Amino acid sequence: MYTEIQRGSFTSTGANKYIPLVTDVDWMEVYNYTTINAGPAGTTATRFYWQRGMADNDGFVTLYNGAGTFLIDATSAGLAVPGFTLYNSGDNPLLSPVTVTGITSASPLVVATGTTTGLAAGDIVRLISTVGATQLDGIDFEIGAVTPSTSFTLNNTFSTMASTAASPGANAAYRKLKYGYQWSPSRRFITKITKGSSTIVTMSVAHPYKVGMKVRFRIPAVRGSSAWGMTELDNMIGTITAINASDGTYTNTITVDIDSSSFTTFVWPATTIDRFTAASVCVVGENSNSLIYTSSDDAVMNTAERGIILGAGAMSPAGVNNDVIYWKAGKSNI
Amino acid sequence: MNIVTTSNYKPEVLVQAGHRLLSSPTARTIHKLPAQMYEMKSRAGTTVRYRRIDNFPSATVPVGNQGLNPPPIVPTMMDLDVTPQLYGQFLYVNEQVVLQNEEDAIKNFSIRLGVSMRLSEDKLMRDKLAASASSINAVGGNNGDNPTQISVADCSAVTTALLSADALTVLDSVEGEDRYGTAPVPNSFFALAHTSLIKDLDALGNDFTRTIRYPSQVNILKPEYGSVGQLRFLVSSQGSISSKASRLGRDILNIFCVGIEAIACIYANEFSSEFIYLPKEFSGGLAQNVTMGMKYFEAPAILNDLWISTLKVTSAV
Repeated sequence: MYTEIQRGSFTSTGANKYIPLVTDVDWMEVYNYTTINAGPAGTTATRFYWQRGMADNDGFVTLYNGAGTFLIDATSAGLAVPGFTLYNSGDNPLLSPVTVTGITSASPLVVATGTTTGLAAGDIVRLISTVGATQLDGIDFEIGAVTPSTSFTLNNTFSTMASTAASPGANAAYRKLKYGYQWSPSRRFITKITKGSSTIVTMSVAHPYKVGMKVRFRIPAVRGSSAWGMTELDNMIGTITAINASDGTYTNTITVDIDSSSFTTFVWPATTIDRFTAASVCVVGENSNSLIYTSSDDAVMNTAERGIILGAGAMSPAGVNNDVIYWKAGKSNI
Repeated sequence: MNIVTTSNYKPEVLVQAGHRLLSSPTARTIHKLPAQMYEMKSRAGTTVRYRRIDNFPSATVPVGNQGLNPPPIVPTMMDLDVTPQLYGQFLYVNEQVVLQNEEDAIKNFSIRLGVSMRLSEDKLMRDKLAASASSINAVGGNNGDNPTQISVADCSAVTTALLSADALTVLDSVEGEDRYGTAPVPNSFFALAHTSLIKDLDALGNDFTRTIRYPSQVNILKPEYGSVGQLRFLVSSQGSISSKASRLGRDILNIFCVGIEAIACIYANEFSSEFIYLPKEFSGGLAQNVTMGMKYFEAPAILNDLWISTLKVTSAV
């Protein structure tokens, strides 16, 4: 019987830090090299400690007093700042619904909500029951900018996707994916297709696709309407010849070797279309004829991991931007 | 009258262990049933590369009588890479557990480890399909949601998509017989679903045939609940659900409709899975604890995305 100890360091980006720990963790110590090196200065935190059994987002904090003259001990909960939280991304749950009060027709779309707690650029959210913009429901979107307690934008979206401002009903909500996608590369939803001798496809969430991959499109017919327009592309398989070319507005794109010049124009279904399948794209392999064929990137991998999240902030273990952080974590096997 | 009763003369031992260990609820593992089991050579890298050669064009133009050759064919193809990963878990058991428990703890823990491995494999395949396979929403129901509850039209749409992609059915037909209340069942694709789908299947009425109405009860898999058209539904409490993800916030049930060679499980030929038992002598100075564990090394894979289609449905109510 023994204790397994892991260690590491990182430079803070000012965002929460996910530290994967294969052996799991029973305790963790974190040292903020930057604040310790700077010496006493105002209310700055220097050391942090967490032990299994503590509540989520809690931990011990050692910090200078307000005058910066001596160190005191406190807790993250007591200071009302982010602390330590265990995670297991294999669970991959959708978080609880949060009320949405409106959607503004713009490029990008703006989602109004009184609660933006825990949201950050790059997070993935799913909308539900957005009366007036139901064509957006059930589709994953990536968050762009967050205006605290007011709204957030949806990356890679266009005003044409919701041509009028929506005033959703009482059940309208967004739900955040807690950890992002477990399997990669996985399916993506399509927000725009630009026709041409080669075809540029924009997706709602940042993609992991690479040149040389073969992808399959699903552009299903919509009940009572041809509302996606470009149904000619449905079930077609193409090879990615370029990634992240501009579609005129965004660069979360793939370019495929399909000549769509004569296809019907891709459009979003109207909100009056009550039942439909979202347009999507998924990787099905690699083009072995292509000169750009290089790797095994099409192998779909399970990226689930367990570990601990260090909260960000001046009084939190992940620190603020450019802080240098050292940590060690232990797992007792008894 | 003085009488000896259990009140004044208690048994020395009040509790005994039941001679049967109670069953642990165990989900039916359905997601690997239609999967091909492919081996990966050991000592040969991290990844297996499968190749599909596209069909050659049809030869429908006469060659003529002048001894000239038509243009030669240049094959086109696609590769599919699969990289297995290692999974596992273990436990330490103190010798006093074995000493003091009447039931055979070691044996029972080994059974639970085996069950855990099979359920884990099933869950991996399930989650891989939910993340990567193409999907269509049910639209034929009337519950006002998107997707709707399952309808016969949706089953037909999925079947049409699979057959249009030249997918082959997994199961042979069940021939009709002169038995009251039965109906023949056509050759079919597997439809792998959560048990929550049962009430909506039953609500399809005569378009749904329960297994008990098959003309023959031979070769029916235990998880099978019935069939609609060319889909035979296998249900499990570990079926795929996207929690509260529909337009109206209902759970979405992901029904994986699968043909032959649509999906596979890739494992190493010398390391598919292992049960691990380390006697207590390996545990330190006083040799008190045994180690028990399981590990497996495999990857779920979609071999042909055209031969699997996920039908997404909600419940009627």
